[in-house]
Amino acid sequence: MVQYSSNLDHTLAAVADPTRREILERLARGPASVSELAEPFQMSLPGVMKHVRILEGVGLVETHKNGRVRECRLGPARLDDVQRWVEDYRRQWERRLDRLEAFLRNQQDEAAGTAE
Amino acid sequence: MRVRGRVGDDMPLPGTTYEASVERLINASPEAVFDAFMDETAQAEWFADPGLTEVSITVEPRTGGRWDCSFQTEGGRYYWTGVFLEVDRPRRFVAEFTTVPPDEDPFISTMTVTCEARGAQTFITVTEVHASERRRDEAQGGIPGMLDVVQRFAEEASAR
Repeated sequence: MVQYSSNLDHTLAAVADPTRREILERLARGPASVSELAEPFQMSLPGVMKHVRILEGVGLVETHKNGRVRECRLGPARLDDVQRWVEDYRRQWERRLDRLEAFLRNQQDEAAGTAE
Repeated sequence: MRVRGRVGDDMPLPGTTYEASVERLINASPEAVFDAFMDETAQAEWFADPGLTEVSITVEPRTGGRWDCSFQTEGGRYYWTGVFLEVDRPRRFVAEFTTVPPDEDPFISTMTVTCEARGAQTFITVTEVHASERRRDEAQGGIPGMLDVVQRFAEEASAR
């Protein structure tokens, strides 16, 4: 019963791919061209660009053309959506397990009272 | 807390699932913990958040049985409709359910709950694997593998 937004859906899908996560990790160290991003991968520039476009689509990456070079950098922090979902989930289940423990304690107390 | 995902080879969205889990050591027997999930009266006391009204819970504690829950929120009625895929008292159960929040996209989840005896206590693990209703529709519409992925993640989760 954890609610989440479709934005989160898209963001999770974008970061689920290991190549895209590596791209984000690289961009966390600073802006890079598409060619520089492609260097660690056995991948064509259009292939890398496809991943960049997906990340750009969810706002995790921004690009702009600088002459003949397309420079990429981290975009607005939509990864916050992921973190928020994780935290919401954790909080909801921690509260629920608190209530479960209290319920079981009451059951044990009642059973002990009945036995006396 | 874990979040996992998987994306199809050439599609940005279909095929993604993600997972989260919580664990806790509870001062009760596995039977008592397990039964607190499986008993409608017990579940009504602790499962739904306090303050929710018109809470309705149906639990049929058997493989293939229903696990339905609905309640009123400020934004409208929230529905949870599920089926137990496996019920192995007091060790674990697996349920798949669809939730329809009043103001969000519907989504499907697979929940695996394991109860492991630790002396007089129980180590409980609750794992949920999520995929949106839209994704399920896409999978049924010709994008193969999504439900397999959900099942695989559920199996991996239950194997831990």
